Amino acid sequence: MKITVAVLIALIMIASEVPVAKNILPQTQLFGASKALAYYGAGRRIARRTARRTARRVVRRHHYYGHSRRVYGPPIAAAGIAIGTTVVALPGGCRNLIINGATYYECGGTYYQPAYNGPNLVYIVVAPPR
Amino acid sequence: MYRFKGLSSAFPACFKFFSLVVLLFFAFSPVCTYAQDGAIDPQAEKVLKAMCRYIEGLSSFEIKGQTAYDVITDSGQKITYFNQIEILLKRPDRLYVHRVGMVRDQDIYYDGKSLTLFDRKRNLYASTKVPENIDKMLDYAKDVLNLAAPGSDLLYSDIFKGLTEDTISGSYIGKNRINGILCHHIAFRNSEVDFQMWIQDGENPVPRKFIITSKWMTGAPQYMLTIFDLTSKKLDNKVFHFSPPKDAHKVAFLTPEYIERLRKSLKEQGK
Repeated sequence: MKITVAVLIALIMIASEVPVAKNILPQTQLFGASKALAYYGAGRRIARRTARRTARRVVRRHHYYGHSRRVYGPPIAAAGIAIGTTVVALPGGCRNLIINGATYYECGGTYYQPAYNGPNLVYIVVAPPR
Repeated sequence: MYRFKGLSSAFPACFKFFSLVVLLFFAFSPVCTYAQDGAIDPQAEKVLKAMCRYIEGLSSFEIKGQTAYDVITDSGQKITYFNQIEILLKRPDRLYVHRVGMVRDQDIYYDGKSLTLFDRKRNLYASTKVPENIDKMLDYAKDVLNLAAPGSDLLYSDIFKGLTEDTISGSYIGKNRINGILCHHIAFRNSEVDFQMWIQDGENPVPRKFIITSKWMTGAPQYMLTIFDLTSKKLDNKVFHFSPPKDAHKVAFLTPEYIERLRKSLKEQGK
């Protein structure tokens, strides 16, 4: 009995050290963002700006953007990050590219396209532009 | 004999429990009826209506003010952000908004056809076609673009209807000064939010302060609009037109169409 418990504890300890999905960017992780933006980005509950009845609209919006913040499609990896993942800040060391008039950021082989979700700029992981 | 005794002593316990249930029922039932009874105080309605009709009567105006909104972080801490705002509105189809704060410095241009968001900090702009009047545009911006103008409740053509469409109760609290200006303080409860307004006493019923409380959200964050100036003003159509600076880049709005486009491009790449 004691041995079983010891083995279980050892397993849990090992499991907690395993770098699960280490190369996957947490979806709202902030890299080098200012403190103000960091707090803003970490905020999950933002005061409503209107007294009008909007429940119906909010529900519909969640349908599009979802809590997972995955924009579309099956998980297809591009350098470890699923296409369609949106992040609120880019990792460090990015290049700004303009391809066919569209703005991209290339960070370590992953391509991001900026877009406005309301007033907030987000970056969507896209397939490498051709 | 023994069994009978046991049974008779069990009855009072039953009654005790029953009476407790009845007492609890009566203790909570008045709360329900009170909420249903809550009506709009005629004085509060009069003050609110006067403000609405005043703004609705201005064909074009300028607002200068400040907003403050609470963000509750995952750890439960409340952080308040302030923005300085300027609004130019010309009925029925022109709107300009500038807001500047710690997080953003942005302009919104609406010229009756398209809406443009210009991000001064990043020198980026996004533009999209929107409906043909302010009311429809504001709904579209909120529904599809996830974009709300500051104090948008006051920018619709029928303000009173929007503010009171699901009102539970409305109260007149009293008179108080906001930035030295004597105001009527009213407090309304809607199904999703509570709001309070301080409306200037006298000929020009300007809403000097407007607080919206998201009461069902944990931490009850608030949105607060303070109006320093609301002036009737003749406005040229030029001020609502956006011409991008030379070095500014255009990016997309995250609309359902944009997502659909991405999905299509992904399918093509998959082939």
